[in-house]
Order: sequence, then structure tokens, then C-alpha cells
Amino acid sequence: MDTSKVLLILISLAILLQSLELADASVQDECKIVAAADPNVDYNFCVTSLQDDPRSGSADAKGLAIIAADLTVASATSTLSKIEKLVGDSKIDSPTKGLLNQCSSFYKDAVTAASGAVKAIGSGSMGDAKKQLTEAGDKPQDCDNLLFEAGKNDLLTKEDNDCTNLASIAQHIVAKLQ
Amino acid sequence: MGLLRSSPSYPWTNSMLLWQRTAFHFQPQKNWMNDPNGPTYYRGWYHLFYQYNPASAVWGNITWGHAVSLDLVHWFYLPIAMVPDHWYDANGVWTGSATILPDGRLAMLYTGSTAELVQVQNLAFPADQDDPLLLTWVKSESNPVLVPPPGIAPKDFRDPTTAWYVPSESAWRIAIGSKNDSQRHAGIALVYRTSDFLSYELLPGVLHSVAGTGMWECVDFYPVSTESATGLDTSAATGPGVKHVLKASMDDDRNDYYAIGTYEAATNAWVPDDPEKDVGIGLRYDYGMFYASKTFYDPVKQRRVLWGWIGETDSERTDLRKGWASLQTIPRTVLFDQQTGSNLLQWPVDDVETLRSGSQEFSNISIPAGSVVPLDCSTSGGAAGRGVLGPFGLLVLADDDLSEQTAVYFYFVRSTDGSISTHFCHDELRHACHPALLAADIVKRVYGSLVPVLDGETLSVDHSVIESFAQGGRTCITSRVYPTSATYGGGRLFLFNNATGVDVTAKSLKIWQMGSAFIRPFSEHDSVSLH
Repeated sequence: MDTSKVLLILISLAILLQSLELADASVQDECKIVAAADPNVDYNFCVTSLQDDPRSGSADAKGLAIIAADLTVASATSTLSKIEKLVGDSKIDSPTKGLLNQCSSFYKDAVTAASGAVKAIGSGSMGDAKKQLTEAGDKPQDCDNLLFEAGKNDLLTKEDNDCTNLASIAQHIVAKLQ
Repeated sequence: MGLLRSSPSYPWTNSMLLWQRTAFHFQPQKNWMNDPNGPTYYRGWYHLFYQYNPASAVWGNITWGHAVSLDLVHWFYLPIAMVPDHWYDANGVWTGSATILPDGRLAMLYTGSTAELVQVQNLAFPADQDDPLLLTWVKSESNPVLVPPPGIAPKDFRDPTTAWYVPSESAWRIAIGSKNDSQRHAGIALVYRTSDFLSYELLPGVLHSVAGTGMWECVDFYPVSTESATGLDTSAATGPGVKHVLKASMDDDRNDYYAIGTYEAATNAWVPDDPEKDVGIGLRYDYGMFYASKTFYDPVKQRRVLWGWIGETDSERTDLRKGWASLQTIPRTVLFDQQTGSNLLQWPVDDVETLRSGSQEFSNISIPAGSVVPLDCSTSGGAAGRGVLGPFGLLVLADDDLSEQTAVYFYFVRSTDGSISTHFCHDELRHACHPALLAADIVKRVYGSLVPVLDGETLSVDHSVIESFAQGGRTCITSRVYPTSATYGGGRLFLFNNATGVDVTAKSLKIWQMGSAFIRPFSEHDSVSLH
């Protein structure tokens, strides 16, 4: 075998592996920063959520921000359909359904805001992205407080907090880019 | 007496302890006081109620003490207004607020701690609406008018606010603080709607919430004018020249925080102007010993007036020995700061100027430089440290050889970009320095705060309390001090300049001697002579 070719292949492989590590390390670095800045965001939750997206392996910080914002949209969208199911559930009483309808409206706002943030990050308007992500993070908590007062927030508290935490992850990555 | 053996106390003399009583800060003749309650103006008199233990100098057996004044300065003690005599307040008649209705009647809402220690809201009203002294009170047959809603914990539901009227609904609203501890330890303010103060409807959602801040006690919610230097009635209409202040006392850190924002009654939403300085994480009314504060609207002088509870920083054992604990602040006017647009201004009510007796005026006093740059009050080691740009200020309650002193001072910090920020501090580290004094007996702190620009300060020194106001009232600090030799005739006042690189000139300084307010029990004689 031509040793120079083998060397070349080995070296290329090494370089490829190296850059994969670097990209992956940035998920961990970003999540360390977010977890330190926001005690509500669990480091492992952050890492697992971002790594779930195949783009995270080669994403830079801006790319990770977009991923986090996309995840927020997805989380809010999926919670919207859960709310729809709950509203259609005969075991849920009428006043609670009324509250859930309000939550639905909060989550629609969250989807709009998070989607707007994705566009803003893409076009480099980080200030605007931050505002939108703040709103996207507040809306699920409005829903949580609403249900909490009625003693019913066990219905959605996990979804509410996951969504707020994803918005927070996106927000903190964006903050570094400002 | 075997209870308090763990840390030996300072050997206070009766003379030292007696000296601590103030001349013009409201305090009962003896025993324990905490939150100010139901402050209001009614038929010619300012009323102050307060959490009061009639039996001891520590918290317990809580009743509503009562006092009246014609000018917010000269107070007369009246009999206790309410005691824990029903199941719904058996464990304490706790904090509450007064609402004056358009026809002049007064509704008092307060928190009762029930026989089962559940926090509920109760309605009380004067037995005789024509009695300007409001001596006797009646509790509603409908009590409790509010119990904790389904999701709220029984001990997270207290301190109802003054009600504000919403014309579009022909109904009133009140706010009550609580917390949502399900995940984010968020402090929240609930809002109820009522048309008769007897039945209430919980409005869905919260007025506002801030994650991480924990239980919100003593919520206060009121409008401020952004265009004129007057106070606004609690029910003043929202609109272009009006913002709303949301305030709460944070149970977790025992400080009062406020934020300025915009209120929309239709959606029951309040939004802070600056979310980074939201309630519980931003501005405080006072950077010293100050808690459970509450405002009311004075229709006579058209001002919003703030009361705050000043606790003791000495030990419980000493409080029991001296037989009393706590003060109220001198009432302060509260205004929106039109210059910065982002904070409030507080100042002692001008009625306190009637206590001034003698005065001395100084101008252009040069204070040459005396070096180490402190970065903030808590690391600076207090006023004894030296930097190029400070600290400099006043030493009050100081004895001749300055072994005892309390410094009220400024220093500047120059940051790497060349800009200068100013700090305003109280330094209690050396207020009581007798060699026998043991640190455990008194809490000593260096309180400080960041202050944008330097101009217009006032200090009130009244025995064991100092209240200071910097830059026209942007930053306020209240401290307790317990000197052992800078007492009676032994107290001196100094200017100091510990800066190494700058001379300081005090351009103008005026000192007034203050007389006593002679706070005393009300007598029929007073009723005649004062009217």
C-alpha cells in the first residue's frame, strides 16, 4: 500500500473527527453557560434537547440559537395539540376547559413569537430575537399561573416549563451573539 | 433565663438603652411593632394602624395598634383598634389596607390567621362612621370574605391592597400576593373583583409574576403621574400621563422592591417598563433596614405617602430588656422621577420641618485629600477604606475621639472605560465600638447602592435611627445605630474625606436641630385644643 495515501486518509479522518468534537463541545459549552445563568434550566435537559436535532453536530453558536428557537416552536405547537385533546376530554370540567382555552391562546402567541425569533436570528436582528424569545418564554408561564390559581396546573406544568426553558436556552445563546 | 446563654450580650446600661428611643419617628410607648397597616386620611385626621404585640417586645399576639395625627408628624396614641377575637383571626390580626369609597365610607380589608393557621381575608369597618378618630371597629358578619383559592397554599395568601375602581365594570379590584412554587418559585399577585367588598371573584391569570422571587408579602399597587409632581388617587384613570408602580416585600430576602410599568385594566395585566429591573430583582425603595412598606393617597396635600417598618438590628434579648422594638420611617412622599423616567423619588414629608428649632449654615468647606479603590460597598471595608475618589461624607453620632461613628458617605468608582459611577452608603461597622462589645450582639452592615449623579441630599438623625436620601430621593438608606458613648451630649458631627487623590468641597451644608414630636396618648384636651 502506498503509505503516503494511507497517511493522507488517516490525517483527513483525524481532522474530521477533531472538528466534530469541537462542534459538539459547543453544545456543552453553551449549555454550561445557560444553566449557570438560569437556575431553572437543567444542563442535561439543555444538552439532550439540542443534540436531538441532527444539525447540532455542525452548528455554530448562531446555528444553535436557531435550533433552540425551533425547538421552542415545536414544543409550543405540540402543547397546543395536547391542550386541544384536553378540551375535548369529557373528564375535564367546564371551568377548567375555559382556562385551557385561554392557555391555547397563550401558546398560539408563543408559537408566533418563537417563529419570529427564528427569522430574526437568521437575519441577524438579535435585539428583536431577544424580545420575541422573552415573550415566547413568558406565555407558557401565564398558562401555568392561570391553571395554578385553579389548582389544575398539574395538567400542563411540565410542558409549560419545558417550553419556557427552551426559550430561555435560545435567549441566552442569542445574548452572547449580541 | 437559661435560654439565651449561647452568645454573651453587650452590657448595655439603662441610660444607653433609654437614649435609643426616638424623638420624631413613630413608635408605641413600649412592646413590639411591625408592618404599618391601613394608613389613611379620614375626616381631618391621618390614621396609622400597625402590627402590635401588647404583651411583649417580640412578635406575637398580633393586634392592630392605632394612632392619629393632624400632620403626619405629631402622633397621638389611641386604644387598640382590633384584637384576635374571632376564629378567623384567632392567630393574629395581620396586615391590611383601607379603601375610602366615593361616599366617604371606609372599608378595611385585612388578613386573619385563623385558629387553624389558614390565611384568610376579612372585612372590618368603623362602628361609627361619623367618629373622625375611628376608635371602634366592627368585623363583618360575612367574614372571612376570602379564603385561599384552590391552587394557593393556605399560608401563601395575605396582605390585601387598597382597592382601585374600574369604571367600565362598576367594580373594585384588590391584589393579594402569593407564590407559585410548582416549578419556578415565582412570586405572584392575584387580583379579585368586587362590587360590595363582601363577595369576590378571582380574575383569571395573575397581575404579574416573577420567577425566582418567592412569596410576595405586602403587595402595593398604585398610579403615579409621569407629568406632574403630585400624587394620584389609587383609582386615578389610566392614560398617557400615568404609570403604575407594583411593589412587593420579598419574604425570601426581607427587602421591599418596586417596578414601574403600564397597567391595562381590561386584560388585568401590568407590564414592567424594564423587565431586567422587574419586581423582586430590580429597584428597592430603601437599601437599609426597611420592610413591609405601604402607601396611601393624601387628598389634602395631593401626595402619595409611604410608610415603612424599621426593625431593630440589636438582639432579641436586648429588645426584651429595653422593653420595645421597631420604628416606623418618617412618612415619605413618593413621586415619579421625571428626569430619569425609570425610578421613584422619596423625601420625608415637609411637615417634619415644623420640628426644626435652631440651625447652622456652612458653605464652601474645603476637605483636603487624605488612597485603594473599593469596588462596591460590601467589599470596600466601609468608610475607613481609602480610594482616589472617596469615600467622603458625614460622620454622625460620633464621639470626640471618633472611636464611635456612623458614616453616611459617597464614593466614586472610575471604570475601565473612563466613566464614573457614584455609590452612596451607610457604614455601621464602627457605630458602637466599646472594647467589650461582641459582634454577635448586633448586626452590622455596609449598605450601598449605585447612584447615577450627585446633588441634593438630606439626612435625618434621630437617636438610634438614621434615614438618608441621596440625589433628591433617588436612593434611600435607613440604618439603626446603638452607640454607647456618642449619646446625650457626647454626639458630634464631622465631615470627612478619605480620598487620597481629590479634595472635596462641601458647597453648602445646613444643620437643623430637631425638636421632639411629643408622641403621646390622645386626650380629650387635645381634641379641644387642636381644633
